[in-house]
Amino acid sequence: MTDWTTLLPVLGESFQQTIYMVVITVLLSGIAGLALGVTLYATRPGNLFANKAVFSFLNFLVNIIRPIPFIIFITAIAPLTLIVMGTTIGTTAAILPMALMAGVVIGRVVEQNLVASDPGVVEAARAMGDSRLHILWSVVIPESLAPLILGYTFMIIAIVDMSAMAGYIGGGGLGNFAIMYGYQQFNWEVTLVTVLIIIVMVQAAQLLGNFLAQRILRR
Amino acid sequence: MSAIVSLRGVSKLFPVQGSAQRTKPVRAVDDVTLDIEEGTVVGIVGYSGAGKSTLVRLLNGLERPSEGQVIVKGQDISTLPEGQLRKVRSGIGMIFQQFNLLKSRTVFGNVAYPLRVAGWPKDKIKPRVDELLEFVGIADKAGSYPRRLSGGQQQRVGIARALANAPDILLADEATSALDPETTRDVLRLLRRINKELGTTVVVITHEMHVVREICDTVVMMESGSVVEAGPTYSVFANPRSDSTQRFVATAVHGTPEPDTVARLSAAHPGQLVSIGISEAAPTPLVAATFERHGVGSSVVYGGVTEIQNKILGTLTYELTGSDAAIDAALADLGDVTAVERQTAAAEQRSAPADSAVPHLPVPANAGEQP
Repeated sequence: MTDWTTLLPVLGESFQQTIYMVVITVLLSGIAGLALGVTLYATRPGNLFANKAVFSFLNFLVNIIRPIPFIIFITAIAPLTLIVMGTTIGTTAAILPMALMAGVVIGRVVEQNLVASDPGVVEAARAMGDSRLHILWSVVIPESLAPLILGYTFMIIAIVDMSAMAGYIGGGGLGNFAIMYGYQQFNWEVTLVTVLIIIVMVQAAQLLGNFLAQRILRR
Repeated sequence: MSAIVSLRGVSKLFPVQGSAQRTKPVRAVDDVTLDIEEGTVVGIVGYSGAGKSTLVRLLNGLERPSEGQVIVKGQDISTLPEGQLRKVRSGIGMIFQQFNLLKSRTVFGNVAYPLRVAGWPKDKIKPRVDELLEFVGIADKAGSYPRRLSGGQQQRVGIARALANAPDILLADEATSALDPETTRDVLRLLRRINKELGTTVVVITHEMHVVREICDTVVMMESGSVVEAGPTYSVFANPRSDSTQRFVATAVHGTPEPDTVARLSAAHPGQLVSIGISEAAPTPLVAATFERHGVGSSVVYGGVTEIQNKILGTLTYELTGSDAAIDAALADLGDVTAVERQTAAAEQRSAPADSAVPHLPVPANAGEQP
């Protein structure tokens, strides 16, 4: 039998740690990724701020970081984590590699959604005498809002997935909980409960994302 | 009248994308010199790839010329910095083939957008948008999203948006090409009204000659980036000089019948077939009177006339009956004022049915294609 009376407080703490990691990472990587994605889109040849050097550099950077398996990425940037966060262990330390990797991926997701948007609208705004920065903010992004919301939903779920791996460096959270009390103690019940909690979290995020995107698409 | 837009030796070169070898850049617009008179409706016509879309984008600085000068309202905009170019652009409206409305904003939001960009105070925006929507006839759609509107309604929103800052110039880039014929007529009428009531100079880019016929005062023919012909619409239609202009004009004005049509016509009509150019110089009453004077019987068997800038133009093919001498005399008189072309079916076409085993039957004039 599983001793839930002792496990439940640990589970609650793990849940809080996961929420903490996910929320902070989503905020940081969401903003950084948006900036990166918009810059990639805008500097692409033929676009508003076409700049081959900037585009090629950022594109190269994204292509280098993205394929690194996250578990390796965490250890690879440990020296940086130590400088920035002051430690390489714990929930807060896990946020830096998570935010960096998620930011890069979000940047690509944002870029791809913006590239797929209608260039005619941008031209129309330019023909009205609108400034290029204002066009990015009030035409390009709002016009792609529905696919962006779906892209971000996808990324929130990927970040929940990342947070489970962050348990490896003592990041805590539900992933750590499932490994320590479930996998390593051959307690399938604990693993199952943790999985169910993660499924509910992911479903909630997906439903919210779908709902918001639908509302915009239905216009 | 004075020129509101002048192009002086303007060329636009685009580098060839993705070519490994050093290839010559494409000259999308090639040494164009052109004046657009204030208050007129000008049609820029050509096949796709003729450079007309690039040309129109040079007029509001969306493209910068590689060579030459673009002078808008007395100001050379070819070298203006982006910031000042934006001011010029807000005085030039533009509408598009695909309307290019902001799908994330309502009709009201779309029309208000250029006003916000131009820094209008909030309390002035609403009455202005209402006035514009009223003018283009979609006041009831202010709260709708573009997706909910028909193509014609969307283009009206595009027009209202383009007129928001009361531009002196309106550029229409294939503005009716995505619309059905009836909606096209409505939109063209609206453009005409804008020109008449607001005095806006309208530049219409099109590959459809009937658009030119309906609303343009002058027409500019483009081919491979160059202007091949330009002038008042009626004279270009009446006397097209270049090959491509002739082909374009033929799509909007009735011409002489094709050889296979002549074969069908001559099978059905035993009299002499003659095509007569109908124009201001030779209107139909004059043609009829000439035939009557020479005692020649005439009936129209093919063709049609149309009106361009309130003047008549077209080609009618008559079947003439009477003595050869009388017909010759009548045609000689008409030949002094207009184009006269005797139509005879080509020998092989006329003999073809006789050679075959099929009995020679008269074919109605409007019969389908002959085998």
